[in-house]
Amino acid sequence: METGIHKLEPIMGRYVNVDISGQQSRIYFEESTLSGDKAIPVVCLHTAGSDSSQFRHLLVDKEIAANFRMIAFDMPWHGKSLPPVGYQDQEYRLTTELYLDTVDSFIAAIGAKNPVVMGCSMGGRLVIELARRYGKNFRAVIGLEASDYQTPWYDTEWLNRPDVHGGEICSALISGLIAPQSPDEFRWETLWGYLSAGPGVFKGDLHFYRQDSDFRDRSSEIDTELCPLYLLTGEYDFSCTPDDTKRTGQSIPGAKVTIMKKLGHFPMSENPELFRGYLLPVLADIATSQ
Amino acid sequence: MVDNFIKRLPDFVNRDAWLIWRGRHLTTTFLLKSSQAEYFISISEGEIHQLVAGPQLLRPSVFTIKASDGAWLKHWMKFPPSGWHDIFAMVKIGEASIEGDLYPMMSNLRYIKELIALPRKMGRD
Repeated sequence: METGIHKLEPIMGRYVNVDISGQQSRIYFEESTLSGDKAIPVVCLHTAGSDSSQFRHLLVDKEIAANFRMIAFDMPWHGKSLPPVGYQDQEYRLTTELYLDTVDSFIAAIGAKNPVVMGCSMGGRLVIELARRYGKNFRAVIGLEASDYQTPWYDTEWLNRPDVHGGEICSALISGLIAPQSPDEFRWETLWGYLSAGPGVFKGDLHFYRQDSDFRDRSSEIDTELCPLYLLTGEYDFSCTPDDTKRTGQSIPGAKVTIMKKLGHFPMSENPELFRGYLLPVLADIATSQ
Repeated sequence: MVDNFIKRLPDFVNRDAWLIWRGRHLTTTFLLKSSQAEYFISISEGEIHQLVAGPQLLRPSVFTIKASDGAWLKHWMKFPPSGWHDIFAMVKIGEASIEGDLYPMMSNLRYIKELIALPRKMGRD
């Protein structure tokens, strides 16, 4: 994989203005410039409390670009996408409906037809509901560190209070979700997403992840003939554990589950070289199906 | 063996200038427990200024981190097995407990996590 060696990387960043649940939002997104017109779009959803730069390695991967057009966007409040006007007088809380509308509005705005959607962590949770509700609209969905439910492991009240540094505590908490084998450079790049996020953003995302997305009673309704579902989880992820993913996969006929060795909760950013070894067969499967 | 690792913590902390800097706002005492031993670790502005073996009746500590000898030894491996690689992972799977007033720890979380993982750098001599 060619990463970090281009003087001018084959990534283009732009903004698109979209209406999300009645709120005008200016969304920042990046896409690979390596792909041809016939490439299958892959819309990437970042983890809670971080941004689309987590996918930068996949966007410059020539082998992936041969068949796929990689696109990653910052959710409102994240990265270079601003929070909505009036954010200063509200507490950010992501819900399933708002998240679904955000992804749907973005895909419509950029004109991506029948895309693959690949989400990590909370993005992985969302693709399960996307496949269930709107499976016919997607060529496939890929859930990284994904399950239809998982057990919480800390009190989110720590994440946004004036007497505790938000960036420091968010990054220190999630640092343990990165596999110990992951290279230091990419470990700390992954953590920067949390160190640099806005106040309360991670906590607001976790409202969706913890309180508004228990899909155990409905995930089995996914028709994987209509929308193939791939679930890939790192063995060191103790937030969405391999057992959480396996249990979810077992409840969805046709779901394809892979447990990734020596990877954690952020496979695409914490160890991109190792991760692509797991992702390429999935993408090849998608490219040759339908 | 766990005992030997914990006894060397002051030396390893107090010669790590960046770790001390990260803990520069932390002054507290916490109890680090294993199956066989317990130590009161007193931190002053990021440096360990006192390590006292317990049990010590009525000696106060602000919070306690506890795990079995076997769990600590797994946590201190260069590449710990999944579940033992992070103190919160250990708590989630029931291999460790954290009790007491968590504020000093949570407001200095990187420092505390790095301090209790320091035996990874000590080698298994």
